[in-house]
Amino acid sequence: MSQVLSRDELDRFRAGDADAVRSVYREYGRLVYAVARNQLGSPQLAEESTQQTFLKAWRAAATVDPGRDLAPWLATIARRTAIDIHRQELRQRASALDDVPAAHPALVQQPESIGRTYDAWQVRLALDELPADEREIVQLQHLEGLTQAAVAHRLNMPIGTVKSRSFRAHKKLAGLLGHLRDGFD
Amino acid sequence: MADHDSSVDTSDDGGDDPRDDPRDDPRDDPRDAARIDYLTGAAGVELTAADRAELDDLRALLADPHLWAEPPAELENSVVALIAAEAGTAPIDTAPIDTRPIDTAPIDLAAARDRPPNSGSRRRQDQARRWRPRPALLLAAAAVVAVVVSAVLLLQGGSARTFDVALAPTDLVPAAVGSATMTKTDSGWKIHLEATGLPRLDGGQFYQAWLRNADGVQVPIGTFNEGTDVTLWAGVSPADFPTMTVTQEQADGDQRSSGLSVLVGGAHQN
Repeated sequence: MSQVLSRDELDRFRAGDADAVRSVYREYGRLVYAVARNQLGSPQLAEESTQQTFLKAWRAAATVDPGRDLAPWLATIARRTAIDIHRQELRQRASALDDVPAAHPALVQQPESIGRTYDAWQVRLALDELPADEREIVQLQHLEGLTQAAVAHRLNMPIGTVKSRSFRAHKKLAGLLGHLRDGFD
Repeated sequence: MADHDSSVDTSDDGGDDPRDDPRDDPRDDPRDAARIDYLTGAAGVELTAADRAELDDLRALLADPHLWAEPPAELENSVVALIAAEAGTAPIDTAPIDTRPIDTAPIDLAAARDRPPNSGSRRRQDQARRWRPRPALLLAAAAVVAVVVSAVLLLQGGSARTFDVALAPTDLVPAAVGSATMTKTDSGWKIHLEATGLPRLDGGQFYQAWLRNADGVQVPIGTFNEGTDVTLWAGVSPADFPTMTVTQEQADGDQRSSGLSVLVGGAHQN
């Protein structure tokens, strides 16, 4: 789950070289976007958050050590950016604040997803580590809520294959996410 | 949370996966095996309350559609264009040159707002309208114009403080391109914008220009119908708000940005 940039790649990224920026985006864009969607919900805000995350990362690229894994660093930027955008959205809706009771939950609570940023980031990273066939089964089971029998029917494969792949995939996920144990928000 | 199959067991019943059955690994701790079974949706798994709560959190994340969301294809080009504009470098794109005429029909903002984020038809449209390198040539020409304008200003006005912006398109109007010159005056920052490729907006629709700082705070600097010879004014310095964007808006009483950016670029001091 660790990707690093060479000195040359980092230098080109800092210089705004389009190929280098594109390369970094292709490595981390899905992660940044998924975290933004998880926090902000809106596709448009998630796009804005993703753009700002990479722009901030580019501006701060001089602080990155070559050979360092960018994922935790980008995760921090992505989280802060999404929170900033969330707060900005709240401020821009402030015209109606006078009509809202001071104790209204929307004024005193962060959205639930904000606290799950790091977990979401890590889970997305882990999912991207799975082979495509295992990832598809996990997606069908959890995102679409299909039973293993329904997955087997959908994919036209024996139920035993679905079960073994599902077990293998979830075992990998558990291993990759073991460091989050007891840490889910 | 997804509705898991309560009838699932952990036995293999005839699978033909050539890989070994991972459930037969003798190194598996029984507790870990039970946790994995629970994740797969198996029924009747004995777990501690703490384990169950933790795994329910993970299952909730896995069932969150946002976690599986894929970014729109055009977002990559938008990110590259934004950073290239900030860095003052022209983005590279090897896609073939688009020689189609510019569509000057009014933009349906309501439809743009309401469109589904990842529909196949939109993806096909976006891929067909992917950003082409022609704007890079126009950017270069715009940069030359900006340099000349800056030189004239220096000759005429001595040491007027100016910033230049090369504006790159987004996927919304891929043929658009522009440049802006920002000049410090006693009243504020006077901004001259020249943009081509933007269809004229009327009938309650218009363009709005913004300056944005690193924290994402946006300051509106003016509205207009078409992009030629536009004068905008800013009460904040481009040194502090270095990103300029142009968005499509409509007079609907909502003062917030629509987020429908058509041009974006970074300000650089001369």
